[in-house]
Amino acid sequence: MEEISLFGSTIFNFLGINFTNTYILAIICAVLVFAIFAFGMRKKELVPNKLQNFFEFLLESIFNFFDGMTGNRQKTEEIFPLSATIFLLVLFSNLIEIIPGTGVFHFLRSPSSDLHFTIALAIFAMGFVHIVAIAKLGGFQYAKKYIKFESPVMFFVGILELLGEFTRTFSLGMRLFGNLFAGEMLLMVMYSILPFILPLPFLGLELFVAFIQAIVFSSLITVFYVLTTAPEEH
Amino acid sequence: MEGLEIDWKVLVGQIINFAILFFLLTYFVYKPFLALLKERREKIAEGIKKAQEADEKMLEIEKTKDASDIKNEENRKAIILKAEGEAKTRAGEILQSAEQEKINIIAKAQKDSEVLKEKEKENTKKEIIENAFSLAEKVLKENIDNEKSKKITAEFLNKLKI
Repeated sequence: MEEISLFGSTIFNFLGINFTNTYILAIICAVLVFAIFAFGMRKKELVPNKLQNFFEFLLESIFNFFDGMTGNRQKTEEIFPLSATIFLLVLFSNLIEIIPGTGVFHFLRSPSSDLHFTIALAIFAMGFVHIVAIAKLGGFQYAKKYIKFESPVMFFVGILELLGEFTRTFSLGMRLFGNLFAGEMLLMVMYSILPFILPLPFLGLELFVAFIQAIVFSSLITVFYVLTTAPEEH
Repeated sequence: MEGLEIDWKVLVGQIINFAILFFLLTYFVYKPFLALLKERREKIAEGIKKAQEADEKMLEIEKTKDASDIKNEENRKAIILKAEGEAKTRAGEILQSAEQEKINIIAKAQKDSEVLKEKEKENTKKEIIENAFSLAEKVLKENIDNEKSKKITAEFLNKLKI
């Protein structure tokens, strides 16, 4: 059995960057996601063919899911690209875990079970949310969310909310990482006890977890976006 | 188990990887997809609007048609009534003129028959006179006796009866 590690193991080093197995698989996942969806949506016709119709159905289902959460079509259109990209990439990277042999073979490990991947996603997503919020609300209105001078209590609340933004980012990354890492460890242990038979029910469970975690991550980003871009109420 | 030491280069690499995917998908997939959705919504809305307009126009046309049907029916009835009136007047005139002509014809026929009757009378008169003359001649020429004279007169009178 491989040594249990929180991060991916380095496959090779290029220009001083450690290309870990999870990093390489994350790149492969990104390429796959882009290739599949760019291929599916290549025609962009008003009256779609079967393939375009299928991909439009997938994207529209995701769009409607987020639209139900925001309750505002304009906001959904703004956050949809980010949330959908997170959903698709996380789902793809989570599903790699289901491939038999994950955790057993050195090169095969779900990118989501590497803290770098999940934290990177959380940082990018939260950074995007806050940049758009500043652009929409304006610097002053945005700052008022965290710097409050109404009373000492409100000032403290503002500081807590500012800290909350960082903890949100960190917890987003940790949640996905924790779930996938635990799942992978579980599968690894099951493979080591009784290969092929014992991991089967857990593979089903992990399939479910993979889907749920992709939804949870992208949904939280959508909710954070709605909350962050909402003007401060008095 | 190793500690929680983040490799910043890998972290930045992961961010860049995700950012590239995000921008590529946004540019090549999401934007065209949202544009398609918008265009389709607009087309559907336009189609529904046009269908409603067509329905409204159809209703308007039907109303106009109904109104014109009623007007046409009224016109038709008026024309028929007028034609019937004119026909009755014309028939009356024709009948009157026919009656007048009949009276004229009858009057003319009566007049003609009277003229003819007069002529016949004249002719008969002439014939009687002529016959009277010829009888007198005969009587004088033959110098007949009284009995013969009576016989000749009787013959003459019989002739006249025929």
